[in-house]
Amino acid sequence: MDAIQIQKLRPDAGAIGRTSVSFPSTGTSITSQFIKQKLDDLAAPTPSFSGIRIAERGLDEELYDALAAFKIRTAAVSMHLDRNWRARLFGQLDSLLALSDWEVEDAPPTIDSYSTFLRMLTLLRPQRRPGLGAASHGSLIATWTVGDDRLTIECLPKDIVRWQLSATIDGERERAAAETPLPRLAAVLRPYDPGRWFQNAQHVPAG
Amino acid sequence: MPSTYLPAEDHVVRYVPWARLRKDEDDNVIGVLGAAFRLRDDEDYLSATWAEYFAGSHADRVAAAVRAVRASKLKVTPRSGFATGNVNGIKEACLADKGRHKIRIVHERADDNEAHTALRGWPRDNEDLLNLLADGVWSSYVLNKDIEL
Repeated sequence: MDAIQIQKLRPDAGAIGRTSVSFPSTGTSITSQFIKQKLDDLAAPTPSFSGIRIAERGLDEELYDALAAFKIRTAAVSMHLDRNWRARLFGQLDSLLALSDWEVEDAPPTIDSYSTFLRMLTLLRPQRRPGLGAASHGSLIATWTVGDDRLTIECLPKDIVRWQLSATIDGERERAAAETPLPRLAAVLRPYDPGRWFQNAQHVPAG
Repeated sequence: MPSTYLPAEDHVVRYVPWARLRKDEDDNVIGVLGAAFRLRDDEDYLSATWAEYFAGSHADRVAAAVRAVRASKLKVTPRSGFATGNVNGIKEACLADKGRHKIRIVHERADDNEAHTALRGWPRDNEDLLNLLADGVWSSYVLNKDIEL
């Protein structure tokens, strides 16, 4: 997919079949009102169908709206992202927010979290895209993994990131974690040789 | 009824939604995120399923636990997964943390899952520990699609 494409249409399932039923005037007879009620009942989905569709439609719309907002926001910084890189990122977002795999109780990632994520990408400029995940309360999670070396960054609103890493450095296993303002992220990761995660070439440990 | 604490050598299996699986940039699943073990605001304990409640080899038991979760009220999605952790390993990792969390892993049969297990005393706001579990003692996983009906 290239540029901004939102792939889904949103048919209003609840409205199908109902538009032909108009409200009668206040002067209509009891018989007319009875007929109108019967028509309404015919047009309405069955209770079980209605229950499922309303719940799914609500979540579907939330996910759709989130996805659309993310892609529009990405367009605003498109000059910082390679065209192919961006297209693949959109594919990952489509996959992450797919209705068929979304946890019903989860809130979709917020635009505030996504804005932090985008800004992080423009600051770190990684060659390798992150893997994407999401916490239940609406934070986007970016991960880079090379063998046992793992970097996990949860994007919180207002340019705050919660990061955690585990890596082997000079033969010793190290773990680190902190909550950091985004502008300082590159500096706090630097001692851990973040190129191991961000560069496309296979990382070869020193020594 | 007295509480049944799970034996140290046994295992618990936790459902992991697609969004909490660790993936590479091409969406290949390569692990579990620490966020998979985070309590929701309205949860008092972490839910899992006791593998050794079922008979068979370790793989048979994990598969049976997966089927038990599928048969429960929980909606199991196609690309989700299940993380398996050793009872003693989880308890020791929590106790070794700076918060010294003393976890109780208790068999609490549910109407829709007889092997349902509650991990009580589960820490809130300890992302480092949850990531440690996801990278270590609770990192083993199977994908839902790989377990037959």
